[in-house]
Formats: sequence, structure tokens, C-alpha cells
Amino acid sequence: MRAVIADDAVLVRAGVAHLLREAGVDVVAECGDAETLLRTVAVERPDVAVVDIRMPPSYTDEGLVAARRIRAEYPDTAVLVLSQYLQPLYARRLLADSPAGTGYLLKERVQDVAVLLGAMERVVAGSCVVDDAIVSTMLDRRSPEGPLGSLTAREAQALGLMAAGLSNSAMAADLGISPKTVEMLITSVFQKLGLEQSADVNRRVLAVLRTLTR
Amino acid sequence: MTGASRLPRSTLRRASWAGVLAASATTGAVCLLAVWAWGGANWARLPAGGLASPGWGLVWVLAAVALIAVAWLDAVPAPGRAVLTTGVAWAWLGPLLAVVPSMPSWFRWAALAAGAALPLLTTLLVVVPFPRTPRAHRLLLSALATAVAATALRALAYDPLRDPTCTRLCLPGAGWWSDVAAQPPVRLAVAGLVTASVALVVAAAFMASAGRRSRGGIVLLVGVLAVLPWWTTGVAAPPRADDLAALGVAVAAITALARLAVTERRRREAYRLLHDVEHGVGSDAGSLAPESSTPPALRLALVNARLTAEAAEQAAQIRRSRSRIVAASDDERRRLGRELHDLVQQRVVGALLQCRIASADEQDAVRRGRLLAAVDELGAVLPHLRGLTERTAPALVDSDGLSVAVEQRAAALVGLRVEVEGMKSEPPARVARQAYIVIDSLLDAVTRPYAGATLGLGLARDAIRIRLSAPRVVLPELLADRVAAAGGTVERSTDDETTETLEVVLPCGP
Repeated sequence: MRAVIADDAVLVRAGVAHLLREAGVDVVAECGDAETLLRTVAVERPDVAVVDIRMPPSYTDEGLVAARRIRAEYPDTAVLVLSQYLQPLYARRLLADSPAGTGYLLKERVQDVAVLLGAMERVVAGSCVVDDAIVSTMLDRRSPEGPLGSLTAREAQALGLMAAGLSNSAMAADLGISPKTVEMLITSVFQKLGLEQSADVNRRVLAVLRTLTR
Repeated sequence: MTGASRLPRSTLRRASWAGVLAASATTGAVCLLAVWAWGGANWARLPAGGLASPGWGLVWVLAAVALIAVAWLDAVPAPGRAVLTTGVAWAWLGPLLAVVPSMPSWFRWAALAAGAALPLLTTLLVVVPFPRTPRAHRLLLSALATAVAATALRALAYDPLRDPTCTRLCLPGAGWWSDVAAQPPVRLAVAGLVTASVALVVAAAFMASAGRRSRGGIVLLVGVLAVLPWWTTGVAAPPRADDLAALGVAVAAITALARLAVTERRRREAYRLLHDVEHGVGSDAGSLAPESSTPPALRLALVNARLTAEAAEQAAQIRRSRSRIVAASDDERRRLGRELHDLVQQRVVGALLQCRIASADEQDAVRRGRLLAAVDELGAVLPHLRGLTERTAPALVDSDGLSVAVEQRAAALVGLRVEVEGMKSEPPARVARQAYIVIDSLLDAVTRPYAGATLGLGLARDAIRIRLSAPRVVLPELLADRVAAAGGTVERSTDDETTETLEVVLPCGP
């Protein structure tokens, strides 16, 4: 897997690159700002870009804007945004245009290379990844009257794992149940969220987006 | 207070001089013209038809103008009213007092000279500061006592009812009174009553004026003293002497009125300053410094107004200072928030990664364990830092606006209903940040759970209106201070027995 890393903090950028290289990822470039990132992606066409939200010059949402441009202009390059904001609105905004192949992960996840690597692999595979903490936040906020409110605890758990981009088998392993039961849970979730029968991946993405909307 | 509204002392001085000189010159010129042009309006020898003569009519027109002028000064003080009363009484008394045939010639001419010098004396009295020493008071009171004694003597020695030139007795329809007053005891009583009444009016006017240190009272006293010889002896003055004396008295009265006008102008100016202070127009307390000649009550009011203005100015300074402190505190919050996010969190993540890398490279199990423990500790710090950053300076307010930030904040509170109205445009960033902090504090003030609580947010008439209704709300004291510092208001009400409402209004203006 070829990756580009963009973060204005040199220590973080170098640390993430080092960990990923240790894990076997081919880090083709490290960028300190959004402009350099876009130029690098245009040249290198990596499998995934790991992007910090706040970068020079204004330190607001340059990373978010760059991520959306990458997904729009280079569909073959997945994007994993690392953020320090536990803010569902930012995740929803990132995933609004092109949820597949896009992920929103809290920056502190970089301490666990397996989590980071897993998220990168899932977005490269075309999944939509949202950090557990954000999904949990939204599920905690769910109104009893809304569709999310009708989910059972187990279904909510399954929805959270779906948002994290886990496959059915990974979900079964995580929940300690059989893949068949996972399928039943997922079907129930789709029904309660009012998602019509369609390609499975799309329904998963829609379910995640529905989760991010109160 | 603007500089234009201030009435400098020099201006008042000029106005005083101008009023005195203009009144003296105008009155003198008009009276001279009237007296000499129409053959002399001799007050002492007015026949029954004399009232119709042009000179006499003009004098009365002047008196009427003076009366109207005084009436126009709708805040004439007691001394001014006394002066007016005395002036009118003097005008009535003039013909009566001038009929004094037995006075020596040299005394009449001295009195004439004194009467002719009245305008000069009047001017001097108006422009020269009033003597305030006890000795001067004793002298003035002695003069007053002399005038009163002379009046009493006059009442005993002179019988106006027997005077063939007495205008009042010669008036048509007054004949019945002559018959009634024909009896000697009655005549004497009526004569004494009339003269003593006039004397009392003069004395009361002077006392009132002198008591208030009014120069108008002195002017009248000088006038009385000037004609006192004729008054007490009954010597008839020559016609021109009478004319000049009448001229002097008229000038004295008009000058006193002019002085009143100047005083009134100063008084009005002072009242206007007081009004401005009361209504918060301007704040220059220095312009309220009372003039030395300002009446005591008004002087006290001006001093009070100045103190009030100073207090108001100090209060305004405190308010501005408080606003600056709150603004500085908000700026500091933003700076802290930025540094927490851009510096501290980044550094912690960087350190965490370095520890992680070091642990991977470390062969010694103990050291590796310590490094991994450090990774865990640093990882545990990050959520706290994130929460602290969010509470210190919520990024959403700046990036997405107040209403979005509030909705996201409220979304975390299950059961809270949010109603946003009229937020088509965002308030200024500074106000939005203040409003968010207020809302955040308000939501903290709600006793959990949030079920049944409603948060209203609206932007109307250049002010943000925040309304929180909940079963129980504990208003933080610092919140009220913050709102007040921003020029806003907090109102608390109870809709019914179960719901409390806090309504905060924050102005969007500067």
C-alpha cells in the first residue's frame, strides 16, 4: 500500500511515517501543507492519503478541503483524515460527497498502529470509516423518537462496528457471535433505518451517514 | 457635555455688561425722547387727562413691556418678583411723592442730581461685585430702616386725599371716595394705610432682594433714597427735575430687569446643563462648575449634578473597563484554545508516537514496558485535552457559526429541544463567541435531565436573544456579570409553577 502523509507537525508526521513503514506501508511522501499534498497526490497517485485537518496557512480546515478535492479529482486515492475534533459535523461534511474510500479518525488512534493500518486498509478497499468515538457519541445522543432510537443495544453496537468499516467476519469476531447472527443484526439495522435493499456497501455507507445525522 | 453647551464666565460677564448698557442706553434714549418731544410728561402735575399724553403713555408702555418681559421669564425667582412689585408700586407712587412744595431748593437739587445719576449708580451696582461684609450689610439695613422711618413720617405728615393733583382721586368715578374720606379721622387713617402699604412693599422688596444679595434691590433702595426728600417734605420739584428723576427711576427699574434677564439666562443655561446631565447627554462634569453669582439652590443643584455626572462617568468607565476585561478574557480563551489544539495536543501526539517508536526499538523488556506505559498515559491525556480545548474555544463557532455550534452542543444533550429563529445572518464573531459561552453556561445551569427543557436562539433588532426554559435553572453569578459586561440583560421568570425561564439579550453593536 502506497501512502502520502500530510501534517504540519513534523514530529507527528515523522512518527506516523515511521510506524507505517515499520508496518510495511510504502510512505511515498510527507507533506507539511495542503498545497504540497495536492501536488504530491497528483504526481504520486498513492493508494491512500493520511491528512491532518488543520494545516497552514490558516490552520482551519485546509486538510478537510484537500481531502474532498482528492476524492473528487483522484477517485483511486482513498483519504483518511486524522482529526483532533470529536465533532460529528466535520465527519459528516467529509463524507457527504464521497463516503466510500473516505475515513475520519481521531488523531490519537495513531498510537495504535493496528487501528491506523486497519482503517487505511478499509478505506483503500472502498469502505467508509468513522471513528468509534464519534459513532458512540451519536448513538449516545440518539433520540428515542428517531430511527436510531429504535435500535437495540446490540444493533447499535453492530452499527458502530459498521461505521468503523469492519467486515461481517470482523464484526462477528468482535461481538463474539456467528457471521449469520451478524447478518441478521445488520439486516435489522437497515430495516429500522429505512434503508432499501441495494448494494450492501452502499447501504452500509448510508447507515453510517444516517448515524452521523441526528 | 459638549463644549458648545458650556457658558464661560467671560461670556456671562460680557452678557451682563451688554445687558446693562443696552438697557440703560435704550431706556434713557426713549424716555428722553418721549419727555422732551411731547413737552414733558410731568408726573407731579398730571391732570386728569394726562394719562392720555404721549410721554406718560410711553412710560406706561415701557412698564408694560417690562412686565411682559418678566412674565416671559417663566422662572422668575422671589427676589425678581419683589423687584417687579416694587417697580410697579414705584411707578404708581411717583406722582404722589413728587408733590412736595416745602423742601429747600438746595436739597431738591441734590435729590435731582442723585436721581439723574441713577443710571450710573445702577450700572456700577450691577457690574461691581456685591459687598458681602457685615459692615456693608449693616449699612444697607440702616438705609432700609431710614427709608421705612421716612415712609412712616410721610404717612403721618402727608394727606394724599387732600392733594388736588392726586391722580387716583381725580380719576372718574372716585368722587364717592372723596365724600367718604372727607372726615378727618378717616382721611388720616386712609392716608396712613396707603402710604404705609407702599412703604412696606418697598421694604419687603428690598429685604427679599438684599436677602438674596440681589443688586436689583439696591437699585430700588437708591431710587427711594434719591426721592426721599420730596417724599418726606412735600416740596414740589421743578418739572424737568421730575422728568429726570422719573427717567432715573425708569432706567433703574429696566436695568434691574435686564440684570434679571442676564441672571435668568444663566439660570436657564444651568437648568439646561442639569437637564442634559439628567438625560445622559454628554458627560463633561467640568462644564457644570457653578458661577459665583449662581443662586445658592441652583449652585447646589449644579454641584450635585456635577457629582452625579462624575459618578456616571466613573460608572461608564467601570463598564468599559469590565467590557475590556471580558473581551481580553475571551481573546485569551481563543489563544489558549488555539495553543491547546495546535501546540499542546500536537506535541502530546508527537511524544506519544516517539514513545511508541522507542518502545518498538527497545530490547529491554522493563524499559519497553515503561515506554508503553508512557504511551498509555499520553493517550489518556488526549481526550481530556480535547474536551478542554472544546470548552475553552469551540472551533465550530468560528468555522460554522453560532447556530450550528449551538445545535451541535445541544445535540449532545438528550431531551433538550432547540428552537432557532431569525438567524439568517450570523452575528459578529465576537458576539457569537460571547453568546456561545453564555449558552454553554446556561446549559450547565440546567438541572439534569434535559427532558422538558427548551433552548431558544434568535437574532432580532441587532441583539441576540437567548431563552432557556427548564424545570429548574440555577443562574451562575458570573454569567450575569458576563452578560452585563457585554451590555446585555438577564431576566428570570417563572412561566408556571414547574418551568423557569431565563432570557438573555446580548447587543450585537459595539
